[in-house]
Amino acid sequence: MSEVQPIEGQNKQEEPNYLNWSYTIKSWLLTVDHKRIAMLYLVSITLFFIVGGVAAMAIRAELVTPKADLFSPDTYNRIFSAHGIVMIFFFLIPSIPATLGNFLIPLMIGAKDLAFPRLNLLSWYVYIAAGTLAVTALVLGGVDTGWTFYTPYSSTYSNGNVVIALFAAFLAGFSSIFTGLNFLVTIHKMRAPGLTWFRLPLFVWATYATSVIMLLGTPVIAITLMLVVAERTLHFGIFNPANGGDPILFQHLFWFYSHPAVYIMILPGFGVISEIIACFSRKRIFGYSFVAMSSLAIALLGFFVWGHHMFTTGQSMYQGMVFSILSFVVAVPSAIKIFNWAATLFKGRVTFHSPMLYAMGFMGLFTIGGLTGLFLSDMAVDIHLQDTYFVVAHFHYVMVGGAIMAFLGGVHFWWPKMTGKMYHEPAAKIAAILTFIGFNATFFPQFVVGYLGMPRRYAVYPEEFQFWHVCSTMGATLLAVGYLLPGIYLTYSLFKGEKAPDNPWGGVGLEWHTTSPPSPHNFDEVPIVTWEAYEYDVDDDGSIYDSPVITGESNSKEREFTAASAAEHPAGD
Amino acid sequence: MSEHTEIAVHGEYQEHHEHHYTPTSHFLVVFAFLIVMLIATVAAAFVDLQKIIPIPGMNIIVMLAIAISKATAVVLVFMEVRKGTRLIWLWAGAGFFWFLMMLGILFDYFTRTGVTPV
Amino acid sequence: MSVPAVHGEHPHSDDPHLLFAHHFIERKQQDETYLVGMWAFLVTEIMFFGALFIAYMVYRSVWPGEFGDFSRAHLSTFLGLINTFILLFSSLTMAMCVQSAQRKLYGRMQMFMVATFLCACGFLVVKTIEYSRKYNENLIPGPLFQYSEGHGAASTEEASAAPEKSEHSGAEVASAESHSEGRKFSLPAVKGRGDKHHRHAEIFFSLYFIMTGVHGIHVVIGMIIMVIILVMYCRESPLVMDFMPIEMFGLYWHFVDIVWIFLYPALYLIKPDLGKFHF
Repeated sequence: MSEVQPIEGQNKQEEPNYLNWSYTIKSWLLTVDHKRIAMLYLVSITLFFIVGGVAAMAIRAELVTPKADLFSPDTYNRIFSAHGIVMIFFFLIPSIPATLGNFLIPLMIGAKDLAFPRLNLLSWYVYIAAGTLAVTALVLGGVDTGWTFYTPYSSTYSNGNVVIALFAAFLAGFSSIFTGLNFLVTIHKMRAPGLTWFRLPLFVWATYATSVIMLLGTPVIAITLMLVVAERTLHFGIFNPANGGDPILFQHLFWFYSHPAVYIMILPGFGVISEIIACFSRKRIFGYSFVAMSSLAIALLGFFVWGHHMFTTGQSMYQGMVFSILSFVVAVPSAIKIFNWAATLFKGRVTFHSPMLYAMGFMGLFTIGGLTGLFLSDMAVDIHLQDTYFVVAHFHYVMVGGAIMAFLGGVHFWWPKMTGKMYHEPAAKIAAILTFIGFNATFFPQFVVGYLGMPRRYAVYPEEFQFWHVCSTMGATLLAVGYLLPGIYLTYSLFKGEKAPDNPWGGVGLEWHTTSPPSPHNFDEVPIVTWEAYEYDVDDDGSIYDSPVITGESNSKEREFTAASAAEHPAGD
Repeated sequence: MSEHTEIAVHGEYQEHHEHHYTPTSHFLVVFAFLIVMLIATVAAAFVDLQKIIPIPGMNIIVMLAIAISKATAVVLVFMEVRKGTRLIWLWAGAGFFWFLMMLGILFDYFTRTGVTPV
Repeated sequence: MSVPAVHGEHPHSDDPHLLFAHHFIERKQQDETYLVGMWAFLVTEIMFFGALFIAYMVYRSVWPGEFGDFSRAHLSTFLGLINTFILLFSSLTMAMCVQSAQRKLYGRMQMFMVATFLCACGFLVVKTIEYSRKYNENLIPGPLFQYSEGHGAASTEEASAAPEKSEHSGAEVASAESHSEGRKFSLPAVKGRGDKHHRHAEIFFSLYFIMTGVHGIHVVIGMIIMVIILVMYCRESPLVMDFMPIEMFGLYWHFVDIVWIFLYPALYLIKPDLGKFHF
């Protein structure tokens, strides 16, 4: 760790923080501190992102040419399956909740830790066990079923390492159940006194909604995957059509979780974006309660639309109509958020620091992704677009252009708080812009080529599509650079970065009122909250907050946290 | 999810009071109810209830009703939910409600037309 | 839960009922947190078993008569009734155990926990009898499956050495279609696997074994936890002197009972036959 340099305005820097109170391996691997567990997760998911990213580069490399010349079709099947399984179960689903959520939720609600600290650690270990199994499956040759494991191929006919992969996904599911359970109980029971629900930061609302989905949806896929394992190993088949079983039943049960799962991936991102936009517009989020309730609405409605993945499978047409209309409805809460964020920017004092660039990128890319989802919700259009690259482009726009941009934005935004270091801001701006350009260059051509008829999961395609695939691969290379850069400058900042002040951006959440990095127990005394969320434009003496300036000076107002002064701060101060 | 401001009783020692418990008689009454319901459900299984009350699926309705009443008794009394906080009620209720959402899967099978391999 | 109180402002106490972990403000908050946490876990279990019930409901709704046939022919209503009674009684003993812990009557608590454990053992004994019967009647799904009751007991010569998949891919679809019970779905006959009654039976028994098996695993897990609690009681560990762990385990055990309350009529009471209501 670099030496502590006294900087004007800093306080409490000689006191131990959660990172440096002990450097032993045991103190890290047996920690129950939510902040350390968040860091453990951050390192782990980054490793999985690299694995999934390598698979992605392999896919793009193969698709440069119309023939299956780099890999055989069977190998290609295993590569895209690996990409999907690793990215979804081991990167996207844990990403924001397990890293930023774990770190920030107790800080944002004024608690000393999550409700069940040891369960938190167990969740990480289960995740690591799951990841080990997944890597084992990959090393042994992977699976060729796709991340969706459709029966009866996965349960009967596939020759891949399906059982190991299924157990890996099963365990990863339990890791997310434990995390979700922890967050739910924490947010219900451990908010600081005075912190009513409608004073919570929107990140907490979003995490709450995510946790509801994690808790209620994941067990369904857990048992479904176990049914496939049972069918494959013990021949206890209920999806086997040779026995009169219905493979579509598997799809129903699978998508009953996997559709809400995509909301697990995006909802925390919405929370991060709310925080970033509020901070860098110096304004309260417009329509705060609408944005809060829209998170819950997405969590609820998201459970009613799974059939839109199955329009072309032979499910009942009437059921399809119901799913179609409900899929249109579920877009509404997301749209509410986008409108409210835009309204927040209006007449805000906007500054474009790097987290804000990621947030802006998110707004544009998620809008495109969300709108193309509506195309797919239309049953008639979906008949043409199902299983084409249009679908691939749609979900990459929302999951990569959306969730990953939000994740990166959040990591940048809270990096000073988590590590106590400032990263190189110009490099971050370049990385954000490169990512945005590279992303669009990669995935926009895929909308076109999908509409023109290119099916997904194919290594071989007609020559007329090659132009679009070449464009896409070129973009992917740029995107890879955009992702590599944060890896470089963020790691560099750990060693050589300037020491971060407590509140470099001038945020108003409770997390900005502890040290950077926080002490092991977060708060010395339990704070008593008497103010509303996002009070950016109010100050004790009536003056407006300054714009965020990255200096050593802390420029947020100090809040009194003792019970004695609670009487001096009536609600709404 | 209280809307009221709760100030922590910080520094005051919470006097631990005797934890209220359910009297044994309540448990025995519920147990008797469960056994009676068990006998009822077994007996009902042998009778074609559709002949008595001509609603299609009457047997299934009765079985479900009996099972739900037994489960409710266990949840409220044995699991002490009737003494629980609003939050406990929320979670107990949410769990069973969410299960109902999966019934949408059945809707597909009831409305399929044409040849389907099931 | 045996961590000393926060800030050192609270006097240290030997009474485990007064201790709470450092990240809680007061004991009441910790108690409620643990209860809510346990209920949240039970909610995941509801969804876990729920998916199995949905799968069962799907197949029963499309083959109602057949499911009744299979159940009546091979599932002993009487043994299931014994098991249901055992589990209901174990729920009573568990509730009494929790009450004893709340009243700090540790001897009674131990007695009722042993009683619950014995009930669970009894449940497993009956289950073993049932499962071994299925084994003897060749009703374990898979290569050994051979449904034999009434019509169409065409046993197939399954090559035990060959993997299961080759047999499926080798099946030929006959041109004639058979209709199941007048419903609008039709099913192509598949040669080499017996008739559709046989095949549907394999699905029924797959569901039976998976549902009762997963339930049985939960019973076994409960038994393991009970043993751990009893051992810790003998060592006078503060963990079990506090009623909260017992209460949490009680919730789990009652849930296991509730699952069986639904499983029994679902699987055993579809269309029982009074003549077969015997051991």
